[in-house]
Amino acid sequence: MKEYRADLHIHTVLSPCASLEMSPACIVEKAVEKEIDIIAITDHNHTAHNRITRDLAVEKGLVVLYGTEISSIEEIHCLSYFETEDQVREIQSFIDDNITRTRNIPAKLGYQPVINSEEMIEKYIEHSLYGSVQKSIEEICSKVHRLGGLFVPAHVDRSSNSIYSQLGFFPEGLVPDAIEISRRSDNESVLQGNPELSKYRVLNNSDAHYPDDIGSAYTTLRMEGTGLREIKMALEGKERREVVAA
Amino acid sequence: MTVAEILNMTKLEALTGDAGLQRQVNGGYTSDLLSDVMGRIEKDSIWLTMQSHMNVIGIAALRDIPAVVIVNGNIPSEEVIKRAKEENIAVLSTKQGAFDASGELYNKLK
Repeated sequence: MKEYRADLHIHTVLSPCASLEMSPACIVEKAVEKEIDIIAITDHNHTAHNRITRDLAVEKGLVVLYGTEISSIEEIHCLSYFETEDQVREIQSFIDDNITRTRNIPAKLGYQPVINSEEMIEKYIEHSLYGSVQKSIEEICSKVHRLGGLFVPAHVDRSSNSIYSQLGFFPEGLVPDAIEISRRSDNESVLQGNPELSKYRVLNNSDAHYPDDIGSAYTTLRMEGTGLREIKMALEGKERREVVAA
Repeated sequence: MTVAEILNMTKLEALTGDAGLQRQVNGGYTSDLLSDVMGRIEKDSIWLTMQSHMNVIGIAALRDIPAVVIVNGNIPSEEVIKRAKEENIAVLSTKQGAFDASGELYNKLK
């Protein structure tokens, strides 16, 4: 059993709100420098930089989970994690089939470039990734679970795009694999203020938009390996796997 | 009708000086979900919302919105005001809620 540091909420340059410095190569370099063992790439409503980041990370011994931060119809940000190319293809087509389509104007809302392995811009995503998937948080959660992924409502403590800001209370039927508390709050006070959250495991992640953000928050997981299954077991506290400290 | 004419007829307060005041307003849209506004608001509409963060100005700029009315007395930050001025968008503040503010503007515009 080993302890791994996981920062599972990182935006690349593809997210219109992220710094143009956040190339997959830069992210891998910074994560290694900050002694993070596992990262997840979680661009808004897109997965284009998952594979390229994993390819770059492999030789550095850094594990990359596939992921995306999906905006629900209520504009709640939902982290989702996957392992295989097939899962990523499926979730991307689910997003693309259901997202509001407004043409992005980069000068107004930010650039959305897709980078190739030569670090060159291959294309731009044309619709705004600030759009939202026209499905409820529950529907998105069950889609992610049907695909075998993990579902984590992002930054529940924040006053925008969180479960509480958008819904007012935690929906009873929702079955997340964990909840995320942002680096701006401490876990204890958030859990004290919202006792209904105490039954969920907490992830702390950086939600990095700039290189220096990477690793500024992370979660320590005790596991036998780094696959999605191990992470799920750690979140469930099964077979001695656990969330050690967030 | 221009934004300036609307200002003269209402108790809205301009937070952005002269920005956007000469722009034309042909209708309005009231919503706090940015993706909804992004997808549905029509050009030259005045937008009423309780949101006051930076992305409001981004969306307004994207959709050619001349003026944003921030309801409930919410006041945006200096950075938001600055960006709105750069985009020539009027940011107007009111203590009214969305229902009353929308009703008043509806009567003037329709």
